[in-house]
Amino acid sequence: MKRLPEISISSLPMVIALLGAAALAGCAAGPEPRRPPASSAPAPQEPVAVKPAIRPVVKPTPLPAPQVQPPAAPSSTVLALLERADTRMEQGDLAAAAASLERALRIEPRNPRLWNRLARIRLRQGNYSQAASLAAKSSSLAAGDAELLADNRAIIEQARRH
Amino acid sequence: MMILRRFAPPLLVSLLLMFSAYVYYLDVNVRSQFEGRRWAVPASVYARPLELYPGAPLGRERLLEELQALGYLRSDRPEGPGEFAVGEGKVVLATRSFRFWDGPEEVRRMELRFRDGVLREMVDLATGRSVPMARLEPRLIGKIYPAHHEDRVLVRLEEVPPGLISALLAVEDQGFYSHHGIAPRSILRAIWANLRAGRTVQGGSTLTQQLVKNFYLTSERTLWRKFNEAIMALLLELHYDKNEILEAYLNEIYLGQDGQRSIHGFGLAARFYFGRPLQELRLSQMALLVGMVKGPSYYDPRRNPQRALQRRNLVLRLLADRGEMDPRQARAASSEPVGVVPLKVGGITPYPAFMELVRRQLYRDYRDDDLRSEGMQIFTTLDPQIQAAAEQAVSGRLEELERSRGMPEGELEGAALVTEPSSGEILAVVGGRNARFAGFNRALNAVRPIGSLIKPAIYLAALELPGRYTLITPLDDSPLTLKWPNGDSWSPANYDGESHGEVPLYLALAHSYNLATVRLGLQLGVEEVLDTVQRLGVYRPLNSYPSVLLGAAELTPLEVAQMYQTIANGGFRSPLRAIREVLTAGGEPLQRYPLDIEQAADPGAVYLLGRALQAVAREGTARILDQELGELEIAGKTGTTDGLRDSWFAGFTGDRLAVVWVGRDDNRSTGLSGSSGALLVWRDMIRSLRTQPLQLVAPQGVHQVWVEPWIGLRSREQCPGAVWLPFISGSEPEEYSGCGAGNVTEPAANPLQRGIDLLKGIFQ
Repeated sequence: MKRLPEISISSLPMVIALLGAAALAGCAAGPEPRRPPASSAPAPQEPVAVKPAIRPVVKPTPLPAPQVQPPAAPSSTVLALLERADTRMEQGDLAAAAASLERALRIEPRNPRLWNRLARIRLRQGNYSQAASLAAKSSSLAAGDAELLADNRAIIEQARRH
Repeated sequence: MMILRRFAPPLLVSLLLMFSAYVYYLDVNVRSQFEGRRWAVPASVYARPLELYPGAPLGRERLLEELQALGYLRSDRPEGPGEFAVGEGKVVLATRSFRFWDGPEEVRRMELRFRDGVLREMVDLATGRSVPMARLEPRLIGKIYPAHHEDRVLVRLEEVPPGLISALLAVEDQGFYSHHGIAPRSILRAIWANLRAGRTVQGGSTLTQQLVKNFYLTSERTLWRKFNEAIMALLLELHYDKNEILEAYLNEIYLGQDGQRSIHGFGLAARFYFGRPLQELRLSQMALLVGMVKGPSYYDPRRNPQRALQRRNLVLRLLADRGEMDPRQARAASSEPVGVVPLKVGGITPYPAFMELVRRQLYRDYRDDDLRSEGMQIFTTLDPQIQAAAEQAVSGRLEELERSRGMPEGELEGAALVTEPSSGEILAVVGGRNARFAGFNRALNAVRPIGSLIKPAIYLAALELPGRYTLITPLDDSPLTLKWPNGDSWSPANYDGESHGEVPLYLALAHSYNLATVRLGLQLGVEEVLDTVQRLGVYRPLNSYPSVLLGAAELTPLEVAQMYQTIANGGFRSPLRAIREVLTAGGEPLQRYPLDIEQAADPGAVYLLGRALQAVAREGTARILDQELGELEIAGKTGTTDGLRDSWFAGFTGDRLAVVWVGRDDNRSTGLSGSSGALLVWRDMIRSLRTQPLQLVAPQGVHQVWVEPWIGLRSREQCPGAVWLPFISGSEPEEYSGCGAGNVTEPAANPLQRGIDLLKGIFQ
């Protein structure tokens, strides 16, 4: 039996990592802010010469400094579900751990950490194609989070070897 | 005499043998009934449970609606499970326990606080601590019945309230724990009691005899039948102990009829008549059920409430007389109303369209027999509140369309599906205008041309080639004619009959220009486009004629939902699912249908496509969405087919994907385009849901810049006509327009802008 490393993360470091990741994601990889805050100068609305005016698809917003706008941290519910997933994993009940993560994903479907955790569980279950897909999904939501992107790459790499 | 003496012993012996054989036959028979029947339970199909957690988009009214559907009781001081109280912006609630796949949900007394349609706080009243999450038990939405349509909710003896058992024994069989199956004394006592009362208040047969009688559903009252019953009752008592027999009785006894469905056992009767679990019944309600044993249809509290009330009060008096109940309690219970809940409409299930999907998915993995008799618990993905919104949107809007266009009533038909983009779970299925009617299920079975709904696949195929196509690549929208070798020709046209010259790619999609799209599709190759359709999850074989580029392809609404699911999920295909878990009758997990995803397209290209589909809803063919639902940043696509036969809209928000089809069953013209028909149904539906805005997340390798799309050049925020658009890194234009180039001090004039660009550079 091959033992896979970096799995036995107890819930506390996981939670800390998650909060940290969220802080990073909040300033870098979060969804595009949809409306400019009041402080930023609005784009001038001038008539367009050639064609009818087209509003920008998304108005960009100056990226706030991290300390100004706290990121949306994962909710206490998601943290509780993560803890439960960790407990189940320690008990070896991977299916139940996955179920908890799916429940968390229903609450925060755009949280790349959750997709990454689910990918890890599938990897440990030997479901390599799912592990790779889930890691890729995590990466598609994790732009700017170098550490998470690297971990997802490692999962995909490991999955390919099987 | 001699003859008698000579032949009697062998005759006696053979008679005895025959009798023994007969008894043996009865024994085998009754035992197989007893063993077999105890488990003939239909599979129960549940909706998704309502998840409670701080921050849940759940208003107080929605919670109350759910509690009502679950039969929770409003009381001033909610103590027992299934009770609640309502306060200003809050609900105090005692939940019921329920066993889910991933463990039990325990009984909890909680205070839930709401603000602005959001559940803000949950406090456990026992500990005073805040609760991170809880689930209500799911609504039962249907069953898969055995052929004879017997229905029951199994209860274990220890779950049955003692009050019910003592009432039952007092009324039906006082000597139950002492007799051996038949009780001559109790027959005499019954006769005496009936004489005294002047009418039949008590039966003479024991519970065991009644149970045997229930095994053979005939009401034949011959002596021979009575004789057989008596023997089988004795045999049952020989094989099984009293509690086993009592438990079987509680689950077996016939207590009513609902159309084809027969109501067996107290567990189901409690739900059928009072909408609550047996454990939560009031004394008066238990007394009524016990009273009904004697004649379920004669004492039916819905059809004969007066008669049922009298019977109930007679039982209560009897209990008081026998000392089984405090006389004051009995009097108080006697003054209560009958209190039955109205019969649910739809009989077997109120959601026939969704149930068809559930059955279809179940039959892949289970045998019909097992589904009908093993009492399996099937947990589905249906969200009853979203289902209700979808049904209402379809029926309400179709009526409105017919009225406003002077069409005959009932001419239009429709179908709708709602799913959750990230998981592929199906939240609602509407198969037609009359959602209660189990007729033709258009959502699953109507195969219709999809019109412009095919276009996103064409544009995705293009955007996956960033070297050749970007969102602002100019597409030629001039007329064209295709000639076939056999001399036929095809000249597609735009919906408005005009041609629009050279159009930036994303606007050609937003305005659904046919000519530009056909030219694009031909450049890419029809096979390539069909390959993309298949990658998105459509497995039906499609003809590779060029007309497929304008949506000659015929699909069901379900298949369309699968195709858009993959787009809404960032290029990751997830098979649409109606089932989450299957458990045995005892709550042991049998099977999970886990989240299953597969990368089907490049996430960067899908992100670009998503932005173009948002332009559809902002400035394109679905721009009416911008007026009231602009803040949701919806992405979607309209579809219209030749002669206005089919009207489609498929679109998604942050957490909901929905597909709507409107058309006629006879395939004639509806006079509706995608925007004047299906889109309105879609809008009504989304408006009545609580849904999150679509915040597309740009994946790594996507770079956003200001451009002037009509001239294809880089620009700046303050320049007229400048648009902020994403590009696969390296494919963005480098040359600046006149407006942008005027400023030489790149990258930005003010320090704030420079800081922003710097940050962007780091993180993108």
